Amino acid sequence: MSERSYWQRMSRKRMSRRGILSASARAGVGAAGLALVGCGDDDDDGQSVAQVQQQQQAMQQQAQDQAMQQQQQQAMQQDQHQQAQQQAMQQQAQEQSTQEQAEQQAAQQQAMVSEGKKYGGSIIEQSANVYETYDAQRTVASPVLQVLANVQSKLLRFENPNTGVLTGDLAEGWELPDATTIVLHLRGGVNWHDAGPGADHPSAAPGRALTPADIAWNIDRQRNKVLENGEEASNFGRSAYWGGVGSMDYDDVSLTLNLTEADATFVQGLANEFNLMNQPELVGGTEDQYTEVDASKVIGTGPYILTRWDPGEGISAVKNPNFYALPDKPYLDARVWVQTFQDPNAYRIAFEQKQVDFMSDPDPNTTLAIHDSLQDETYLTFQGVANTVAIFTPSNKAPWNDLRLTRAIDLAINRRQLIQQLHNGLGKVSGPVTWMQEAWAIPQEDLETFPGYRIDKEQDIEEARALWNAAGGPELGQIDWVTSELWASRSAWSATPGIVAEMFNQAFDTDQFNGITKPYLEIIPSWIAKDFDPFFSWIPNIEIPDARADMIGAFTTDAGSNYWEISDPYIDDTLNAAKQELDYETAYQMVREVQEYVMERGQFGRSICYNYIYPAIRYNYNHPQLSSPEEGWNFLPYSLNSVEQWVDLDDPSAEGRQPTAPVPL
Amino acid sequence: MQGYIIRRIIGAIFVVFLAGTFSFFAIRILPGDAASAALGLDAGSASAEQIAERRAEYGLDKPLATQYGNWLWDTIRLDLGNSFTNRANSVWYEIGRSLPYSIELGVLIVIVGFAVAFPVGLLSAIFQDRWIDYTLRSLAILALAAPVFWTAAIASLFVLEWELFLIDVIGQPHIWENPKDAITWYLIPMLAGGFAGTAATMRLLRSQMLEVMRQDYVRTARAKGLRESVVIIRHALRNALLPVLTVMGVTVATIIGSQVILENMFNIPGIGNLIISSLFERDNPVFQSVIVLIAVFVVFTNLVVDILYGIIDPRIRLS
Repeated sequence: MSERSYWQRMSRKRMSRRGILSASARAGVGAAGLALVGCGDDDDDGQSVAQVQQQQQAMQQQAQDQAMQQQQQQAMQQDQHQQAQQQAMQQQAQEQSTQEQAEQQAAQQQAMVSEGKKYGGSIIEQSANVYETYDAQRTVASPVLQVLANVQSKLLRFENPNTGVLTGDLAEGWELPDATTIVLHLRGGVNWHDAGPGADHPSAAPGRALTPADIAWNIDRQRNKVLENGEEASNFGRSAYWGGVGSMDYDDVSLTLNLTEADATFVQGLANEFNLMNQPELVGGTEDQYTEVDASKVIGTGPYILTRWDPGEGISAVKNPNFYALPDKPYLDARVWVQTFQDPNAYRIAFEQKQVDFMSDPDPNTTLAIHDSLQDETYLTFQGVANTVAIFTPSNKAPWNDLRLTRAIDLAINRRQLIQQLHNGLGKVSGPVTWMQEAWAIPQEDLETFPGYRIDKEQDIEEARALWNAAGGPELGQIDWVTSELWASRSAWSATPGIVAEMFNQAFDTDQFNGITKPYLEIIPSWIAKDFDPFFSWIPNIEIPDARADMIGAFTTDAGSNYWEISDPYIDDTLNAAKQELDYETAYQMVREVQEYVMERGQFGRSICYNYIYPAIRYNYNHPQLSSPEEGWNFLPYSLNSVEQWVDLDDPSAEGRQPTAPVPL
Repeated sequence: MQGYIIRRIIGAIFVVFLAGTFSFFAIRILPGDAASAALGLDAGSASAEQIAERRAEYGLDKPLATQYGNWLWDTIRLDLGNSFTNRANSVWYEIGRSLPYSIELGVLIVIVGFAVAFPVGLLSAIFQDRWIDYTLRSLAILALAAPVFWTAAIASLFVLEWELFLIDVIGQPHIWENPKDAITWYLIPMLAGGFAGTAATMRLLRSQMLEVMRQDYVRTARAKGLRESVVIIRHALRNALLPVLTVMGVTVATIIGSQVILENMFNIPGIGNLIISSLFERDNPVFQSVIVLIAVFVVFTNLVVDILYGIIDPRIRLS
């Protein structure tokens, strides 16, 4: 069975809405009706869980990774040939006259229309109201990117965020003359927006050409962490990444980054969704109000111009009439975001009455049930959540510095059970590299053979118990296992502290484990200080598909995120060599070997568990770039969809659509 | 009477103070730190410095007693500060944006509630123990038994299933801007909220009417040869309404409670919606201010009702 059919079957055999209504009517009102609605949900859960238990294994073993491996191979081949292709493209572009380019663009557009992609229309989606700033360089909040990725540009973008295949954006080509040098060939004819609230801001320089100096300013700003007024700011989230740039040289058409040390992973970071380019004049002139979000503080070079950004009220953007990729892209005329629906009923009304084009309720069952009632008009997509779930054991301090205990904990974690209990089966187990970084991850069917990940959990538990007892686990007394308060504050996950504690108690046949909660405020500083209590929670988002950076950060001796104080010459040597390896096939192999090595040692206390999955429903007329798990898991898909998403307003499902008009230019 | 009113006002201020204090500590006791909660799922990606900086900006790094003192002093001065979530917006702006929606819905619920409760209560009393009374009383019990969220959810499903009309949860029109779309948007919540509020009033009015109709002065009125409608409306209903007036204060609190649910179910960006969103986002200034605002409204509505009651019925005032 293919993975796609697995995910599609997730929602089948549900109680239809009309069934609920008629049942309610028959049974009367009040408590009887309530009970029926409740029973419907219960049934749904049971079926989903049963299906997942049986089918997830099959899914993990079969078609997915065959397809993924093919994609990986293609990606590798593409990457290896990318430089040559880019150079050829650049040379070709320069040689073409303007007329020839126009003819080519027209032909391409015609070809795309003939392939079924159409121009025009708009997309209306929900966005979580987590806009801590309008400056992508100073935030960790992904909803900020959901807006800005449509308005601003990066140097490169991912053609497929899962595999890491890159394509040009502000840089239309790039070269790696050696492992410490990146030469970016900048695209010509790129201008800052010349209309909209941002262009009207007194600090803005609307309509002028983007220059290499603009890009250098953005890089300098982040690597130095210094604002225009000379003050240092701690919230430049990518400062460590840009700190890898020792110096820059640029001329009118190219920018050369000289890295302080060889880093083959660096180039993917240029496509990191957070690395959007600000206009120096506007952002520099509004830095003192960087938390006060509105459309007048944003200007970009991207496919859309922001016309409204009122947090909590509404956001809209319209097609940039001067976007460099016109007339090919983008396909849509406008994008509108409405703010989070607090209640599934409102979201359901909005989606079913086609006031929004996309729906992904926090409760997957709601999403699946609605899809079930609208099967003819909608389809499901599945988005892997980049917030990896992990259990961290402080293996750097007693008593947990006994490798037997660390291994026992890693073995005792029942990852699949956690996915069932907390996410209704919607998720996949992750090794040291998450499954979403599919080119680098250990395939699911291989993962099932590793201790801690085995389908036969009894075998894991037997070994875990033996290690626990041998290392004197029963003499450790009461053990508080922390869950972050933020996690536990979500109603669906409120039982997590108890679930985690019970998981260990059962595995070790003890009652030593207690589930407690702590705020991130306590967890993160103690984690950074390497003096933390064992905990269960999310860990920082993965931001790029290349897993080497994460692995180096967590496992090498001097790495900033090595909170377990791991110091292993084999890991250091292998990962540092992988970091410099330009041949992806060799690098994959190196990372794979380290993953296996790490897993044999209980992941040294950094026990990655899983990444869960959110289902979403779209009407048939709504076409994102990656619409099925085979194509990709929509891991940070914003900039990809900003240019590639399209709608087919001739599709029957578009009938009765109620689009909200964007604020015009 | 003056002393009574002053005593009641002092009591009301104390109740508001307690409600505000409760909201201040309640939101801090809940799991989840405001600085982290504001980042949602991405909180795990924030550095300790970023969280600390945000806490300092919010004043959450100060001792709890200091935070409480600052909040109390600022609230007394009506300086409610800025929202933690929408940091460019003052709390007053957030309240000002939400209040009109809540007033619209609240007024509609009250209109529906009393428009249904009065005739139904009256008819039920007039036709006591006849089929019409049984039917109406059954409906009242049904309205009491069915939770407002259930009624609203089932009604929504019917509208969606049979595509009856557009519920404009995105456009969020005010009645004065787009009456047609606004009314179809408010229709289910106002009916669900109105019916839920109706039941208690209807049953109270019925029992009061039945009691009053047996009074000597009603018998006297009939003996004088007055028309039955005059007897009922002028003599019986006016007196039966007095106890109903006393429950109006409670009804207001019930309606606000319903509105919190209904506004969220229909994406009405009113005060109820603001409470829930500020709670989930740990937007302390907004949550605390809205609770205080609601406490002020409920307490002073009850105060006004009590004073009115004293004015209408001098026996209460004298006692």
